[in-house]
Amino acid sequence: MKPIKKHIKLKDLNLKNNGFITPINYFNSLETKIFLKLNNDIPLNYFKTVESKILSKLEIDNESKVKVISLKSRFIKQFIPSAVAASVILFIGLNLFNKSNINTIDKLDLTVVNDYLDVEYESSYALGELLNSDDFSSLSNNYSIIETTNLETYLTQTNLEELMLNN
Amino acid sequence: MKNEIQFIADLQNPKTQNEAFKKLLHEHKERLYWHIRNIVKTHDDADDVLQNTFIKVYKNINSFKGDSKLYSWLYRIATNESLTHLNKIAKQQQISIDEINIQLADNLYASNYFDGDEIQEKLQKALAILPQKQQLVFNMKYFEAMKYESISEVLGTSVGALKASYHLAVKKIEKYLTNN
Repeated sequence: MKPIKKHIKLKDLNLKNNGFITPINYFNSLETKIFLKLNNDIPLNYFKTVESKILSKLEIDNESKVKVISLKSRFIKQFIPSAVAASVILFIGLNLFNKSNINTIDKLDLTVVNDYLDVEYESSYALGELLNSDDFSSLSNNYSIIETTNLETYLTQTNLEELMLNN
Repeated sequence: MKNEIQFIADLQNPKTQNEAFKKLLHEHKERLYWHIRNIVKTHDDADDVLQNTFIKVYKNINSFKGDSKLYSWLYRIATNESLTHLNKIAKQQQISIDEINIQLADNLYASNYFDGDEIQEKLQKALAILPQKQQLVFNMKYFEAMKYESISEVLGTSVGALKASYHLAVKKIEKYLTNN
């Protein structure tokens, strides 16, 4: 048969004393501590404890040596090879880029331009529709560079009647 | 009451503030210490919280409107500072405040500032498993011998609810002590 546990009543126990104690003379020095704190507005013993707090956070062991990594060796080992590789890639890329067929206007052969215009625009009227007054002004400026002798030669050697019929 | 009105006036008057505050410290330091100690358990924490409480009282005395008794206001600040302190520890350790209470009770036997016997230690462990509000009510009624009306002013809870809470706390503690 199991023993019956006697139900404990709190009121039967003299437990008004909670068992907590304080350091000797704690309350005697309390007022001074609080006024010091109010006057200084910094934690009590702050400067006495701050150094050890910082050191413990850094966890510096005076006996162990901290490994110092030379920046020079790091530079030589890591940066230079990367720079060389990047330069090679850039060089190759630029050459490839330059070899692509992008032509400037200056490089275009005049006959190629003429052939294009002949194919794309069946008559000079169609081409003329694309031009505006600014274009004509520009063209007339260009005509000023045509020497008189060249013009005269052209007019005398060319069948004007044919020109007028075909245009 | 008239004396308290005058005392509050003295506390709020810059000319008389320091003297009045010294008197306030002298009259309330021990009661407030034990109130805080019952919540935070360790002496060092109680010391910190008590100092913070009085500094807060000093800095905020002008905001006290006199709509409650002065000591109720002091106790409210002390209670809030104590709970804030426990919550801070709980957050640092990434555990709940309930677990902190149990941890503190379990570590009492190793404390230099705990002189209790086995049954006193068991009582603290029984207390630690109660909800926070019930612990507060029990401490203020059982250890600090406060009247329900005074506890009601501090905690903002009705007398009836406090009586029910205390009754439940006692039952749970008695069950824990019987079984352990």
